[in-house]
Amino acid sequence: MNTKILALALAIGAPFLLADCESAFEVEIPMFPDGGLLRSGIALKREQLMGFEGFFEVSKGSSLLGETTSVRTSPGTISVLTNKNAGFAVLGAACLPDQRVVVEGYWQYPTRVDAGLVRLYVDSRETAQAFCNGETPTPDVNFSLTGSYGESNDIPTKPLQLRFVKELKPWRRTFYTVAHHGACESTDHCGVSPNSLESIRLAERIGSNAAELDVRVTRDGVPILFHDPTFSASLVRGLFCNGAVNQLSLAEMRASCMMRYGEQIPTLDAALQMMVNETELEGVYLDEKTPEGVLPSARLVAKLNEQLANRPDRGPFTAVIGIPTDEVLDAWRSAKATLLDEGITPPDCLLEYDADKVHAEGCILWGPTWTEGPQPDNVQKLRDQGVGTIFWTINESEFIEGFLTISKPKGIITARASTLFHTYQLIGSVPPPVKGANQ
Amino acid sequence: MLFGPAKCIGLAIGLAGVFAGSSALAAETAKPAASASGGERSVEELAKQRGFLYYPSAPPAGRMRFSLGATYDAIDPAVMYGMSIRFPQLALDFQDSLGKGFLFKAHINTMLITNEVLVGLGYNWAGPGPWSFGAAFNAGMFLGKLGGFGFDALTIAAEYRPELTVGYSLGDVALSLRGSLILMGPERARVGDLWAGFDNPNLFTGHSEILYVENTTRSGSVWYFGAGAMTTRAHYAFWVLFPDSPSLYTYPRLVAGYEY
Repeated sequence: MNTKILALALAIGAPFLLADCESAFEVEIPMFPDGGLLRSGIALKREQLMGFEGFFEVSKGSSLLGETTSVRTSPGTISVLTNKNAGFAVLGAACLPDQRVVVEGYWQYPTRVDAGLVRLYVDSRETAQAFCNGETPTPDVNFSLTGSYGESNDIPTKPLQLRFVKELKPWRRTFYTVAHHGACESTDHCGVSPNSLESIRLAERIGSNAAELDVRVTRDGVPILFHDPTFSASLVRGLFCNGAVNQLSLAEMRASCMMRYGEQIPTLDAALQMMVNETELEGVYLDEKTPEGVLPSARLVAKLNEQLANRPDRGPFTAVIGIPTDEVLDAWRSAKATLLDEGITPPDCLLEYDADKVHAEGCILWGPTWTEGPQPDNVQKLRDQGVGTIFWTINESEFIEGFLTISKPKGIITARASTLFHTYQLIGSVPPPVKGANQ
Repeated sequence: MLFGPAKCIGLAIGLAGVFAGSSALAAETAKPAASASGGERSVEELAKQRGFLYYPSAPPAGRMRFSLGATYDAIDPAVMYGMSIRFPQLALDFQDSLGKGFLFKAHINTMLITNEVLVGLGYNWAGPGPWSFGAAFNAGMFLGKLGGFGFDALTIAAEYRPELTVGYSLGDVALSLRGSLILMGPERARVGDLWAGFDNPNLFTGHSEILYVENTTRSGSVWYFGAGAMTTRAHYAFWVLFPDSPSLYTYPRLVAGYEY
């Protein structure tokens, strides 16, 4: 009997023992097989892309994007943002040899496995001609984009049409859609790893104008971007990429570890430089996971601020040191004193946990967790003290609506940037000014 | 890749089967001594007296079973992102025979901040030889509340749990493979004063397949252990993160307890 049972158990179990136990699967980001029409056209300039920004009605293809969508732009990218399944489309635009303007790329629902290609054209011949002449036409109610979308790598065939309705509500330097450790959650299918440079780049393309990044330090004291205290299979690859993050030097980490999608674990320095040189992101919130990271992070931000003071071409960029605990607060006080002793202006700070301490510590932002509710009274009290509020981390759309309407915060950290951006445009109101602040 | 969860389920069942086999081997080895001293009761005998919680049995009307157990879910780190602690859960079960194979059942699973409370009706049938079969439908609440550590949050949902069980007697050890569907909805959550629902609502929240090994004792009580696989959405596995991912995650579940 026992032999039979063991044999039965092994018979059932053995085939499964031979295979891995991975239940997740990856989504391939769709691409036009031949590089698409963008390859044969002349890419529109950054300032011309501004002519596509606006709040649009989805007159065809609402099953993909919902009834309305927000279109915003960043360097080289037109982003179509919706609150339906946190969906977005990341598109490029070019003037074709026949003087049409094509807008194409891919769409995706990051929490699902759905993605596909999009190809749209500027409807009006005159408007397209103006773009091709290097002008930037101001969009009006006659402006529309018409074309199609498809599933995965199939050539798009389903009708899609976006009709301009109105300008976007002010959002640059006004309302912060803060990307939670980059573009997506670790459970999403975005093709990029949290806290990677690639994730920060994608964050801007899917609706963020700021990023929250997690800072830890290597054994040799280099601030890097990594969330967990230890390397785990859900975040990194590498046979020898194990143990505590602060037990590996940067060189050892570089030799042993790759992020989930094959990216390098970035240093904070590289991330800051990339953000100010390659994106139009307006801010970063450095979530200091350990006290040891505070001083080196503060030095890097101070150096960056000096650099930005000599860069009038670069739009405003605010980096804040995020303080989540009393231990990090002690390290922040000490770092501030050290920098002042050295004649260096300390960077700004954000206190996460205690509304009553924010103003006293001289921080410009309060970053409460959303799990304690919208707290409108605290938000208003701090606003009167010159402190803005950025909640973390709200991904559920009904809660995003609730926080936007009840508290009118300065920003929200989210892994659903497209949902937050479009919901702000749809039902949000411009946050009341923070008294005396220039954040 | 598509068969990932199935692989995990098979692996868990296979391993549990190995444990069961070892247990049966141990039971058989110990049999002569046990018989000499009165020994453990047989599964068939106990099934007709007080019954079992997992092995489908049909005791006379009015016979009851209580059980106290512990459950441990080895959660996928992808679901647990950023969290390194998983609390063991306590499980309380009650069963009252209504006669003719029908049973009233009640189940509480708690890790204090999350709780499942279910009541249900089951029907068990003794099949040919050592085989037996059971079906049950349970309904109740999934409730989570946390008022500290940065939370002022509550979540509540109706939960429904149909289940099927196949049992096999090994003499004084009973093996039972139970599969159940986890259905939840509507689901609401509160943070501060704000109530709202979750994105991607879906009645189908997951399923579980657990192999239970129930060992009889001389007193008529039963001690049990089991292993298997849970395949659930993240918000069931760890509600406080409120993840909106509709993906299903498979993770092992270990159980052990004592039936009075």
